[in-house]
Amino acid sequence: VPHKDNERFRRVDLGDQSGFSTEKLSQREIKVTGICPRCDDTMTISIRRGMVGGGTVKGPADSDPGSTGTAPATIYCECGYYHEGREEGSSENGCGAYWTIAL
Amino acid sequence: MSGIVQKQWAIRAQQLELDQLARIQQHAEQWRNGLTALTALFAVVSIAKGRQSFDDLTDTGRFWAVLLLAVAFLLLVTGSLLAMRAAFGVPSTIWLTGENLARWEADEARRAQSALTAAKIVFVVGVACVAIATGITWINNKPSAAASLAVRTAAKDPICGELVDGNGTRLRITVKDAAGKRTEEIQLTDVKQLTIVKSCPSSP
Repeated sequence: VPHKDNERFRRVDLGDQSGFSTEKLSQREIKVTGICPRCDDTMTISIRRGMVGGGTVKGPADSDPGSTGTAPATIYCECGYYHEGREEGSSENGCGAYWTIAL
Repeated sequence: MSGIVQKQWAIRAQQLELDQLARIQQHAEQWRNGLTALTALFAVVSIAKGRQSFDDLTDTGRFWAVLLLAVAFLLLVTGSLLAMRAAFGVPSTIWLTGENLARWEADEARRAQSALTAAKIVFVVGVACVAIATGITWINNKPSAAASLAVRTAAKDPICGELVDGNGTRLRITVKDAAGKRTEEIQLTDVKQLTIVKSCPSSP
């Protein structure tokens, strides 16, 4: 699918999306692959386990995406292309769209 | 949570991946500083100047002073650790999604608030214990024991007892022995040696 370069950068909520595949690479990393529903770029992102500030995390605050299969996660386009209208110095590198997938 | 906020959480979660080492090192530094400061609590023990200042206390006073200082020490250490826990947190690991991070931060804020409240209560009780223990060391002293006098005379066996009074010619000493309590009068001219002793040897 060709990438739609002409989509302007816009933070659009695309709601729940299916069609993304997940692969648990290790106990600490999940690879998510799919096509951005807005700019049609094939994208791959990694969701990792990582350290946060403090406290013992129990229960739903540490939903394990690899084991539940239902944990929601918001992801956003990281197609890597420049989309007109994206602020200079922005930490984003996609078309601005974001959506929720079930991991 | 609105969608755009969810996206901001997702971006934050992604960015956390970039400084994992720096974050754990920062935590380690904060905890090291906190634990070093904790050693200042040993000053609590020196308030009472160690064992010496307990020597003058009654047995009951000594028991309560030591007990209260021990409890205060434990409370102040606990309070400091709770305050450090509220300030620095304890490193832990989660799946770095925006949703997880948002929930975790909300939970952590509650945990920090609880730890801070507990730290305040524990600190106040600990300081109160120190104050009471210090008060005990001021007011619960033993009455100072009268010095005893051991006297050797030319005429009699050595006499030991509490000095009642004396003048230029004689001493009067209260003696307690198997025969009971009596007052002995000793002429100064008979005295060969006078020794101040903490207590008289008990009679056979």
